[in-house]
Amino acid sequence: MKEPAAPPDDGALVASALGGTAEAFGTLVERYERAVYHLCLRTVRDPEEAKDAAQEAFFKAFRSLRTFKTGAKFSTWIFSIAYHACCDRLERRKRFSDAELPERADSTPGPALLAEQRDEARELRAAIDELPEKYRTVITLYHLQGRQYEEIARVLDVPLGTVKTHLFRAKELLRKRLAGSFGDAPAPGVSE
Amino acid sequence: MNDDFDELDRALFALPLEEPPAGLRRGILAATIYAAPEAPLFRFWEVVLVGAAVAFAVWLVLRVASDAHFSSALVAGSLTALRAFFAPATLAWLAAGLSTALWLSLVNIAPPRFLVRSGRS
Repeated sequence: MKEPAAPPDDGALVASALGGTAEAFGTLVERYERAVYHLCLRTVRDPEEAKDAAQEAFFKAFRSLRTFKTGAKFSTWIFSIAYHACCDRLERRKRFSDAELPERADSTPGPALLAEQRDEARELRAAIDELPEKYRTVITLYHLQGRQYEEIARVLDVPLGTVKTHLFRAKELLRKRLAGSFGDAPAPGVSE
Repeated sequence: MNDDFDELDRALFALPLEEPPAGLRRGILAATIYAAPEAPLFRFWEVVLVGAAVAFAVWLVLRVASDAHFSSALVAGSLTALRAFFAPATLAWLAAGLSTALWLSLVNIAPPRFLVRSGRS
């Protein structure tokens, strides 16, 4: 009996897309759409903006597919593009005053949000969303998307040690915020 | 570093990724592989036309520069051509041709009625 052919790896798909097979890029979108959207959502904390950022990331990747280095990891590349697109959006958001974005200024959870936070997963997501951006992204890439330290360091363009430190501090903050839900009491002296 | 995060790690690794919005993939594909290709800056015939004009201009300049008699011959030839164009006979033929073209464009050349009727029966 003939074994089914293994799905092409990302590098082969990039090569096919560059060779004119448009569907190859479609397959890459299918593979990474969810992860990229998730990274954007955790970084910008706004579903609509995350959608736009994810779309922008794939668009930029498509336009500069020729610059993709042979042998590099497509996931690292697309995450890096998405992360920088999100950073640009956060930077732009900073320029607006609180008065222009009242929904962001109000940090008090409303009744709907409180109801959402009842179960553990939602509570955890809400706690991740409260983390500073640098910690949020590291937690998202490492725990939620299963990326290695080296890949996260390349995506964020920071040293490996910084990734580990951010991850540790992020978890400390999470544990502090979810006191009683997970693990032991927080270690003293951890601050944002 | 205190790394006793077993329960938190378990919860984080078990956290499912949110589903992307329904229209995201469609939007990405529409903006990338299904987007209309960008129109070239110049069409092929425009490039050929501009190329021919530039080549002609270069040839003209080289001829004028290399041949002292060429420029005078060119001026004389151009004047002759202009004179011939504006000659009364040329203008008369031109007017006749233009008015014929105008008359033909206004003439009703639909087939006669009896021919249309016989065609239907």
